[in-house]
Amino acid sequence: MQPTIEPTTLRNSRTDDPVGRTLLDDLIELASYYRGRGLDGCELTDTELRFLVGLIRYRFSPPEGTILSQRGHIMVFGGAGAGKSTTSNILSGTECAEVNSQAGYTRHPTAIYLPSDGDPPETWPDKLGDLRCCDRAQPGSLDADRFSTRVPDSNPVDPEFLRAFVVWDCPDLTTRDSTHYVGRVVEIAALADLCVYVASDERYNDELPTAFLQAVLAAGKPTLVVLTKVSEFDAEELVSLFRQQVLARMRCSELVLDVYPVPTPLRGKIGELWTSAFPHGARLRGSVRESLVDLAGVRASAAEQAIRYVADREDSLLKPLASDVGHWRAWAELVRRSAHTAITRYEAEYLDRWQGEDFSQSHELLLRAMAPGRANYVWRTLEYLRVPYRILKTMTARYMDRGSVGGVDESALLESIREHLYDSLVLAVATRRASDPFWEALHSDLLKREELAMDAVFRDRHAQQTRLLRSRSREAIQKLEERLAESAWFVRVLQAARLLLDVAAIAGAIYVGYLWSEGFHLWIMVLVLAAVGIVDDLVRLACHAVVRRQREEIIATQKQNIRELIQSAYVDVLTRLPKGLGERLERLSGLCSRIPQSLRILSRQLSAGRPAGDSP
Amino acid sequence: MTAVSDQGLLQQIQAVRLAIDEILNLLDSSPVTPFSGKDVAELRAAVGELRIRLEELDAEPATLTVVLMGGTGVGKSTLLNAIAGERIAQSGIVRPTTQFSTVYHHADLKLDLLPAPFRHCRNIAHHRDDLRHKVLIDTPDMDGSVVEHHERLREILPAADAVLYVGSGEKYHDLAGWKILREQARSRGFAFLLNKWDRCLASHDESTGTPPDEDFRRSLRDAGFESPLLFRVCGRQWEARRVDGKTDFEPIPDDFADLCRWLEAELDDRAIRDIKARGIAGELDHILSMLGRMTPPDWSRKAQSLRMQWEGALRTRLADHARLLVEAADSQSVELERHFGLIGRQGIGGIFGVYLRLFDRIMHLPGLLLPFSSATAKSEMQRIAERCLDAIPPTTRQTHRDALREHLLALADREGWPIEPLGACMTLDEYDETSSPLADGALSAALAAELVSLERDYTSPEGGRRVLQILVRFLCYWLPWVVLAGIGVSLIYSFSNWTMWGFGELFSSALLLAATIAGLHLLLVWAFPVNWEALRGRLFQRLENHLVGRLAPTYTQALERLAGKLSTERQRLSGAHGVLKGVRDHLRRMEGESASSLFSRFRVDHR
Repeated sequence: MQPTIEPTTLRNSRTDDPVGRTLLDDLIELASYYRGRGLDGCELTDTELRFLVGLIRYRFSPPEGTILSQRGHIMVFGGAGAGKSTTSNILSGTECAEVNSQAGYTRHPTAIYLPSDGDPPETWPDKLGDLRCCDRAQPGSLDADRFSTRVPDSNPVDPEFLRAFVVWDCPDLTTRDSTHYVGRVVEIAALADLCVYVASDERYNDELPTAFLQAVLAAGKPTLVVLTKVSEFDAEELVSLFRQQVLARMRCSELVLDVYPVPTPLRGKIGELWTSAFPHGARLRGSVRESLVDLAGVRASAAEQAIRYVADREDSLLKPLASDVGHWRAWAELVRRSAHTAITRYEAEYLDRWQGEDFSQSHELLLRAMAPGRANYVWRTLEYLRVPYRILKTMTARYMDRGSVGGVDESALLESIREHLYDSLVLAVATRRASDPFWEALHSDLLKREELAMDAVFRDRHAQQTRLLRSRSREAIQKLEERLAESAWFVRVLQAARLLLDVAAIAGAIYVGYLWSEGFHLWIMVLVLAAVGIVDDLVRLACHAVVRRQREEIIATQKQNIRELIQSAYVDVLTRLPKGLGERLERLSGLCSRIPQSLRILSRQLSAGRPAGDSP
Repeated sequence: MTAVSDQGLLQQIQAVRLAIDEILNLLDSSPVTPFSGKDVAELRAAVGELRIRLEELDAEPATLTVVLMGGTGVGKSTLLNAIAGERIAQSGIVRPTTQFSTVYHHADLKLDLLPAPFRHCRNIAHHRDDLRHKVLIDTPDMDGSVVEHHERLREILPAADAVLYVGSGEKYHDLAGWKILREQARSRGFAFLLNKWDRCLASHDESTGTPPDEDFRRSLRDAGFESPLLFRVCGRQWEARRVDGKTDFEPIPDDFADLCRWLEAELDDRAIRDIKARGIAGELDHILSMLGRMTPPDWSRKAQSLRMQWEGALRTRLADHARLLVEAADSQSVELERHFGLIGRQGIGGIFGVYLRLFDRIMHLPGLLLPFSSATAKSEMQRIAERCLDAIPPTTRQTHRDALREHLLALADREGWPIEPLGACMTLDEYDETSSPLADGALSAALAAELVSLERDYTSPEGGRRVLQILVRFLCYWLPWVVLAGIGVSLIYSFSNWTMWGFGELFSSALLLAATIAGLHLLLVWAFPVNWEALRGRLFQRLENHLVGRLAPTYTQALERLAGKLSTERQRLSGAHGVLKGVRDHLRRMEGESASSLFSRFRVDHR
């Protein structure tokens, strides 16, 4: 019975699905992030993560290697010493897996198969996830993540079986070192089309192996259960016990195809278990063949179940990332708020009070342009007339103009603002330190202030900007000067207008005074003095309005500059912390929404029964 | 016979009780030392276990509690049946078999003397003298899929003196058991059983590789047991032989006889005492290493270095504050100048006095519109100081305050100080977090005080300036009179000559008087400079000294207060540490060779 599958269509329908690919890429990125981060204290474990990634990988974008798509893969798994290798041998009908009395002897998954005669010959992928293909000839370290392939030396009982399927003999799940290599089993579990769960009389209700069995079933893998080391008399009772105690409590237990006891043969005859002298091999192979007749169908329904499985674990899968992203966002918000405080402080304590010596220059320039000069007698007289008003004004002004706390040293202020920015952040992070490793990492990074090079960058750029600003305001004055020099007639008109204004004011004052008092009195003089002074002030105000535009422009530029400076020298640098993580989290934050979205699309496609590649 | 026969040890045990009470009190009293939550929880758990062990010591006669521990199906119950020679625990093929613990003890033993966790178990009494002072406990599994069983085992374990770790060919180094083994090895005697030895033999015949017992030994050595005490047994055959009385099978060679001898004869009273002492010493080792890790460094030395840093920071930061205040005083410069002017000229009467008052009125003509009270100098200064402070926007004041506080705390944080209690210590009022040493009230008071002292110096100078002042006052009073008198004399003189003064004479004499007064005014301005620029520099100097001298200590005192609390806590911890260490050393000295040889020797330093 050869499984009827069309490899090409199967491959295409899987690998060309863009959503599946995106999902896989996202998951791989997530996994690599979690590997660097560590999953201590999380609901999600490394093993589960690897399983989830594997399920998606082998369903939507399996590695190159025709043997993966063309053959059914059978995984043999179970607790230490339960007899996995023995079962592998029974299944493949030859002594191929090394049976050892040492518990936890097998450390790497081994694929047992016979090469088929097809043309072109089947190929193995270089890697299954993180597992590298390694021939037995090269003895690798026990700790290396690898798998090996093995072709039996002796002739198996049923060679056709090993030409149609691959039997994976896996390491155990229970010994003290198993935490190091349970990931390898998980990788094969994700790949397998059918699982064989091996449990001994001692082990059949152990926590870890049954939990693994549950995961495999929930992920949609059809499973055969083999109970080993039972005596002939207990076999039936054990099977029913297993059904009652283990399977009855499990979800998806309908995927368990059969519970099959393999009684221990008499002493010295264990080696005969996989020969044709015992019926177990043939019966197991029969079950496998029967359930994998429609490999494509099995895979399709497994794919659907796998998507559902991953979608069910979406929360625990994304929780560590979401929590990190949350912390990072809180941190970025802290930085932004501190930067905002710094900018506000700069504006309130410096910019708003900034007089700017350059503006008084252009002010003077305008006033001077309007004055016809000392040579003009009318002007000189007017200047004398203005003196009493000015004296009075100066005396009053001391009482009017108060509250200007001026003369702030800009660089000193900036220094103190920067210190405050840094101190407040250090403090905010220090108080959160105990809550999460994120803040701890942030704290230690933040204390390496010199390495962050924020202050030096700020100082350099600020000096540069100040120079630029100075030269710009100088340019503006020069431009004004040039314009005044160029248009001499305009200056003349201005001067004439100003004189006219003064004369008109004097005339008006005399006229008003004359009308009221019906004759010339001394206080008409006072009125004239006031009028001249007021006109002078009005002209000054007008000039001021012209100059103010220039000043406001420069202040706005300065505000913008400082804002950008703090953004580039502080906010950008600080939000990239903790080192190597900040930036990454910014990028990864998209996964929190993209992964659930991909999962929803995929499950909709699969339940609609359409080939996954059809829809956009 | 008692576990702790000598009085010295009893006293020491009492000391241990006091020491752990001290530790718990410290932990409960919300300490300022920044202990990590994990450490505290671990320490509490360890102290709790130690208490149970101490309780056991009170039991008389001392009994050794031996717990059988292992995975499901390894044959714990079978073994207990085999050892007891009767069917006391149920064994079978259902996994997990045993649900509750069974206590197998001598009939003479008063059950209420047993540690609390054992009192609620099913108990079976026997009359075997060789097991008189030993209690054997069969426990549920720790690796089956019924999680409640693992918890039951966890409840029992703290009260165990010794553990018989049972493994089978399949399960001798399973993860679940290994975790517990690693945790418990330090404070309990361990012996190991490799059960189902018959199966191991059978499967080893068929396969290659290391035999299970060798592999088990190797694993144990990896876990830190130098010479693991390992018995290879086949519980099934002994259960069949001793309980069911079957003898019609070929015996399988194993170490069961050794196990029984060891349990019955070798574990004598002395060994029991030793193993108990060793268990307590093991617990103490653990607690001591935790205390060693948790004991904070010597803060008083660190306080010294931080204090230096703080003083530097305070000097510069408070100078900034003084600058801010002086700048704020700029806004009140006119009032201040006038005030100082008035004060300085007080008491100058005569013509010049009249002139000065007139001049002041004219110069401050617009100021008449503003409220100007002639109250006492002090309240006037207070008023001016408050107005100065108002000239600084409240947000700026707050920011400067926060900046200083945060800078100091950031410095402390860099040195590893716990900043939360430090921040709390830094307020003036322990219950009001907003009361800062740099509150508005304190600042305006400082400003007012320095203005008053400046005024005092101004009005009553010392030394040369004082002489100068008296001289100038004298001149100011008398010179106009002299000039006027001169003019009068010359007028009388001219009258006596019957010549009337013309306009020229009158003008020139008025000019002379005016010139005199102007000259005196210049002299006054020179001798009593009332211009703000001159006052400003002096005010800054004084304010800086005031802030650094009076307000800075509030901060450094906070540091010292915290350092004091920290060192008290440190002393309490190290005191408890010392007591516990003394008892531990005593127990270690007392510990005979028997305990080490009767159980697997565990390297204490093994991590």
